[in-house]
Amino acid sequence: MSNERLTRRDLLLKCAALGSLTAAPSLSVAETVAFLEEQARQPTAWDEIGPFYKRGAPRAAELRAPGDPGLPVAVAGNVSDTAGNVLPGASVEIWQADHLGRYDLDGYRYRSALLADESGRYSFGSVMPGHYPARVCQHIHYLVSAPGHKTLTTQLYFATDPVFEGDPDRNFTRDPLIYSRELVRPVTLIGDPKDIHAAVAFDIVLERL
Amino acid sequence: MRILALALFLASETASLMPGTPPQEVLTLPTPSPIRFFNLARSGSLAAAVCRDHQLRLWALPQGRLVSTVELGDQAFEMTAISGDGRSFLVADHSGSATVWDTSAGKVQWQIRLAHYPGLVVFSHNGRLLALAAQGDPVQVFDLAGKRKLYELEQTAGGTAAAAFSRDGALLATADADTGVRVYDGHSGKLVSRNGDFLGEPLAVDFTADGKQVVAAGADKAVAVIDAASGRLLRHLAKTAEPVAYLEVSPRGGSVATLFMNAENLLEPAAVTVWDIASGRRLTEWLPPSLPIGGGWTVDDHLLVATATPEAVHFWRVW
Repeated sequence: MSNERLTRRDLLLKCAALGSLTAAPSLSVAETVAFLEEQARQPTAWDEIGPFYKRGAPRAAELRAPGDPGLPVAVAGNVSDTAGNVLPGASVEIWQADHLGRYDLDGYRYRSALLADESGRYSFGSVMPGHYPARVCQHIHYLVSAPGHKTLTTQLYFATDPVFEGDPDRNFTRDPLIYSRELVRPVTLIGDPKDIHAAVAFDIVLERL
Repeated sequence: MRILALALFLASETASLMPGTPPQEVLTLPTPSPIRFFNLARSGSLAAAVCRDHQLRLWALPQGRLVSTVELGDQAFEMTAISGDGRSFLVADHSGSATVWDTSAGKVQWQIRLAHYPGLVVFSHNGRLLALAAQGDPVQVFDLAGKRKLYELEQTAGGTAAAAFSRDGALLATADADTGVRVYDGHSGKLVSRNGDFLGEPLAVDFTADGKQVVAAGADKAVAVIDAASGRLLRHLAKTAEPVAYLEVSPRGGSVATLFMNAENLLEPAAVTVWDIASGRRLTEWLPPSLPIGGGWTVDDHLLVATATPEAVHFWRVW
């Protein structure tokens, strides 16, 4: 029997049945499983949607057109729930400013409506968004939804943002819209000095309704 | 979105302005400390400013006489609003603490706790209802006199950017981040209609004088006129060059003023335009010398806009 479709809850229940998971005397197995599930993964922190969301974006995994200026960046992650179950087909809408900090309000440049694949994975290629007046940090907007789960609006930030001066732990509050340090993700630089790409991992965890 | 809160318009009784006359500065209010937030009551009788010294200053209009100063404390305010009659003034800070002040007594009238920083605050025209929302959260509507929450609107993805009551308070319209423009029963919060014609987020909304139509605009760069009862799009006014940050229908209902945002630089001023609602004709357009901090229609259908320097508030008669 394949266990590919086993959920975290299934695994925990099987462990309990096999005796490899012991419930505390004061808790039932079900209560213990529920407790462990709750502790397993915290939902991704909320951030405001911002003023430039636009519905109807195309499903494009590559937002960067050939020759686009700016640091190329690849973003990837998984969409799951707080129990660790992956959410295939989850809608992941993303939008951002270009490398100069300009949003495309007339078309769909640097906007996409992705779907998580069978393993809950999403990915896209873009450029590092630029800074713009009235907003402190570089960011990419997310609107993530899946049936049976609370819709999430959030924003992805970059640990390499000059605003953090190399210390996002201390300086992430310089942008008053960053409520959670967890939204500031490490950036890995790949390639030779003449052709550097950035890579960022950003997993999304949704709360059940 | 808090930058949009700067775009609040003034209502004040003033002398009339002939169409085509260039905007004139008609009143200057000296301020001993630079202004952070500025509001004017729709009655036109009171102007209010929260200054960097954490003082709320209130001026009687149209004379521009300073009538009182209230110490607000050291909170880091994010949003302010004033009721139509000027009797209530709300300040909300980054933590979500909202305080309603009685402006005549200089005392706290009521305190409301939000989950986090405010995204929207609007009084009804008679000042009895208050619509308030934390950024991204559902709009809550409160009865100010009874100091109680009446209802909460439905949760929409991303929350609500702007809201407006009809003049009789019977309806409440919202411009929502999910690009919907919704109309609710103002007494119960029950959904009446929804318009889904916007692609970009609508950022501004108001009712026509009779409450039968909703005027809404935002990132789509077009001003839409919507049937309030059905949510059906009736028509668009002309396409605009920039997104609309705020709009307000004139007291007599024939015109709508729009404040645009400079999408290239939100801190730079953008045009203020007055439109004839029926024909869609652009009546006048003006680029303020700096980002407007407030403004609104006078009771005789003229438009005033306020800008600020470190030393004063300046009122310009635009239409």
